[in-house]
Amino acid sequence: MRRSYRLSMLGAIAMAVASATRPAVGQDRSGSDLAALLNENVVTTASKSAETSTAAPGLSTSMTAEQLRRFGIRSLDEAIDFLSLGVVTANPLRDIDVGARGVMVTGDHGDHLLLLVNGHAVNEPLFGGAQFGRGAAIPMEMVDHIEVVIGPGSVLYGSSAMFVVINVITKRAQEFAGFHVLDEIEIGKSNRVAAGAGLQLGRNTDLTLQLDYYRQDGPVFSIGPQTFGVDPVSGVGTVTRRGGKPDGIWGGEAGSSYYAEVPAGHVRLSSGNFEVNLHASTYKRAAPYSAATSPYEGDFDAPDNYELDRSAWGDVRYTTLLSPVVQLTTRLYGDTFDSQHFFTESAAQSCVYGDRTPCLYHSLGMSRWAGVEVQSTFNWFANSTLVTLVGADGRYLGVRAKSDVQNAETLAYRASSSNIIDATEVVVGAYVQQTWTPAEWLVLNGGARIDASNRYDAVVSPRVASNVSLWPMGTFKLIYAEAFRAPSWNEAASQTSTLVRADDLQSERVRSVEGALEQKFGTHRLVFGVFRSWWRDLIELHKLTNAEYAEFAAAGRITSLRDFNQSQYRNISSIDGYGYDVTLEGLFAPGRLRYGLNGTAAFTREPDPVFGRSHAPEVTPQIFGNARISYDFSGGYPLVALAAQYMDRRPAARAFDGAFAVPPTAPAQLRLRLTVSGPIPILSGLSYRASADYAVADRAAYVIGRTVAGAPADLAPVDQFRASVGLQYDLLFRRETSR
Amino acid sequence: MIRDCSLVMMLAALGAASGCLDFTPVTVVSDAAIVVRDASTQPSDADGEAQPDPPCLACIKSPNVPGPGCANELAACDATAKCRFIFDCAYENGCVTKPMQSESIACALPCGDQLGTSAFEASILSALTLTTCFHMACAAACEGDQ
Repeated sequence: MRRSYRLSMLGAIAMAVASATRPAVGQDRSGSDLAALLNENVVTTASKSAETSTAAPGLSTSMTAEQLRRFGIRSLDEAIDFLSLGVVTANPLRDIDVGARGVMVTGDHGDHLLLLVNGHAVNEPLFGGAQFGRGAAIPMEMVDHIEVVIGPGSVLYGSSAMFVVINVITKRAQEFAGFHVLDEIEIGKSNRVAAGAGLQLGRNTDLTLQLDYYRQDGPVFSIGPQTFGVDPVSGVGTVTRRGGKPDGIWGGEAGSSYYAEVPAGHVRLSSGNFEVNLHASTYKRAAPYSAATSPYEGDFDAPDNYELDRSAWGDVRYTTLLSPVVQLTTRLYGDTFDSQHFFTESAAQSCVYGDRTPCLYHSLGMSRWAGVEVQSTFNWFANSTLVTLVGADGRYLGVRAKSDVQNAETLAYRASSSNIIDATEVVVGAYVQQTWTPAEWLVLNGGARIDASNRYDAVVSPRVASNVSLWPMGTFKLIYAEAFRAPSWNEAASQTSTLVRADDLQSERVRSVEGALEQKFGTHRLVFGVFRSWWRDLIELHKLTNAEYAEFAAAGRITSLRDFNQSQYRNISSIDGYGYDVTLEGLFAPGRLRYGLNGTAAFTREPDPVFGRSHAPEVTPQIFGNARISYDFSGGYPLVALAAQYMDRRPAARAFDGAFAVPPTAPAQLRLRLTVSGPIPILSGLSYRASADYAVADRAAYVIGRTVAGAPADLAPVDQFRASVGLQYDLLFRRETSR
Repeated sequence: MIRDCSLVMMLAALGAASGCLDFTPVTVVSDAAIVVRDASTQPSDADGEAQPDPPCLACIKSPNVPGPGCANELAACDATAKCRFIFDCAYENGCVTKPMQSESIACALPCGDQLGTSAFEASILSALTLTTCFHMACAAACEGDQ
């Protein structure tokens, strides 16, 4: 934990949060209390102002740069799994799924949670999502801390902040001074090289930047084999590989189709009241188990089956104090995102165009948006006891998409473009938040936001919260919040050979009530919280019944009869859940020994007419958590850290789609990571970090390949053992030369 | 409509692979000529499941009322030569006995392909309606031995 950062932040906000962190009246602050304060997490995301996590209107985790390095964290999903409370990820060997408190929507592109980088929302409107694995393209060495706020957060952030808001805060030059280069190798699997700098350009101007290049190849997985049988169109065995035999056999060694490539860069420039952030990245990836019958379409082990995302954004923020009472922040932002998806299908049933040449499917999508957010803070008595936050955010966006199918050999187009989207949208939001500290032991927070668009009905997202500190070093929080997710353009406007365009999709809604008790014991902190949540109007793919199919066909709404399996996005699903969260963390031996424990138990159920009864959501565990311990030997000796993550048994994706009499489940998973890091004495500024990962279970919660009635499910493999080693060189400037 | 290379796209210059995607829709004029197939590519009964099924056909030809039957849908199909061809072809190839409607459709697609049919032709809609009917009304007769 970087104490200098903590101290400066705490000093700045000491008045603001005094009532929440101050002991009860009449009690002296002891040394251990001060230590507890220094060990306090500082967050800015929950209420858009700096405050301790104790005072924030929500349960939150703050993961510091030192924790990220100490535990060998290389991506956002690893930080979530090993360090955060209440949130968990799942890895289908492609785009990471993220869930919280027993709720996860697989394949949702991460659109049920909001990802911010320095306060800039990264979620894009075509799919509504963001990346949380390597594809997030966040230069980890440049990260100052990551805030994870659990619970509905639309009150200040609008759409997608349904169960979590994650805010990645990058370093300023004083925390990233000098030049930095590193090379980190995951033995036999990946390599990442990076170069960054933190430069003080003047008294009030500093610049931080980092460029990253990540490349992953493998590991090689052995998949299946599965019998796909006879292709109903060709009448002979299904062809599952490009140039393969019609033997109806799918699987084998996937040696060419599991890779990823991520070049990325981030720049942060601060000058006086201005701050500018620029980010650009591309993300190319492929999954090792593509199949005609799986969510990842395409021939098996074909290296040309891949997705490529490109994104770039910029954000200019100006903050000024108009008076001792009024602070004004204006933010201009612009983003561009596009996505391409390529895959070939050699199976005749997936390419019915009158010949037997494979098809090359090619989908394009693009979204661009620009907007302005104006926010004012009124600190009425200049002592933070009564603070009003008002803001408005308006954005104009455009989306485009199309899908094509070509002859994979001649590249001649086989049909006219489909799934054509070319539209614009105006989205406006306005919010107000009032915090009031009527007594030292009580903080009240209430607010609401309204979001409206020309595409869906206006949505109001309220939140009320109270923090009560009636006893020494203890706080009780009570929070009620609502949030929403607007339908993505992909859900609202897509129309493909297997997808009928949606009718009047509306926003998903979630309501949540939670209570949390936080108690500090010197340098140790215990949090116990309970929650109850109701999810309504969740958007899900509905498979058309025969009667619906005939009706849509007669109405001319089915674009192609080449595939009878037609679906349509509808507001049809709901989830109810309750459970509890526990955190215990602290330090011993003047900060050398640190430990932490996070656990969540949830009981969530969603009705399922197709399956016939309610069940837990797929993929996400109902019981999960993480634990960590580290010891800093100092004096040139290594820092040793052990982190673990546990996920209970959980239903696999596609478990309830009707193919299995007994829904398949993934075994409980325990992941362990041992990390050793420290300086290399031979050269000042040179340091190393080595880690080894082991996953006990060898299968993940994703059914791969074909689902056959009565046959056991084949689950996606897990990369069980990983070892990585990295070297970093920091060329530090002396303070006087950097100014 | 938005421009592919708006000012915002300047930010992409920071990316390693910036550039503009072409969203111009491709239009392919359908070739209505009949696709001549090699016999070896025709649907077959190689899986041992797809066979013409007289009891199934009898059910399909039966009146809708009192049922079970799909005589109305069959008559509508008969009204267009293409639909009748598709149905006869599908029946001969055992497509009517497939347990899932989607399998029947997939099985019959080559029959439609031979005619160069498009999705919205009346013949295809009639064939679909007939397929829906016999999967609902004649499931016992057509899929009884599956």
